[in-house]
Amino acid sequence: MSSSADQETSRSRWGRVRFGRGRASAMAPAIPLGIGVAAVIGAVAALVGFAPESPWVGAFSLTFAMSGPMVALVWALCMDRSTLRGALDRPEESVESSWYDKATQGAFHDVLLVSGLALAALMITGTRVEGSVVLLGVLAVCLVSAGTRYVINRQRS
Amino acid sequence: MENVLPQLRKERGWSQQHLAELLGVSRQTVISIEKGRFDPSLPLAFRLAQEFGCAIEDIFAPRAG
Repeated sequence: MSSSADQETSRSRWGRVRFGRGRASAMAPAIPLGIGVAAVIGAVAALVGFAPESPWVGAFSLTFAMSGPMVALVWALCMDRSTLRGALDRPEESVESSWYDKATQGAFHDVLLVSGLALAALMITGTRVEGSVVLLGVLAVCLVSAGTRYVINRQRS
Repeated sequence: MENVLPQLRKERGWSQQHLAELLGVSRQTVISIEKGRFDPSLPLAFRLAQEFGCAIEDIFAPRAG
């Protein structure tokens, strides 16, 4: 068996933590910490009036909704990539990285263009829009543009 | 850029996956380089040359015209 194959078999599906000597699975701290962070977010949101009519339901709902993303975030922060099965040693030099770079560069220009046009339209019509709606729109343009461009770049290769 | 990577790889009996593992990149990267649709970074080109025991210019050449 080759050294790269040996290295691959020593890796695990979820990787191991990058700190400490136990080399425990990265999911071990990610699950409790992620749920804990989500619970804190839910509690803070309830305290500042996220759902004034039923704060407990609001806190629980937000905790439930945020648990997945927070577990993923903690996992990404505490996981050592070199212990993750299937992870590339040099992802920054792979073609996928160039697709991503080109896609995000293009998305930046798309956001500039769409934001400018939208701002002009709002100014002309005198329409007022909430900040949260604007941010949601910017986020949507970023995701759709970058995602579409990435797929196009992949198909060209 | 044009390249002779497919010939060099086949001479050694290596699969695209094997070469990708040697280089630490994805198999798609090797495929794209071989097709001439992706120019590798200088460090990656040097590693490629090192794997095949030759100079970079023995593998890559500017596209004619």
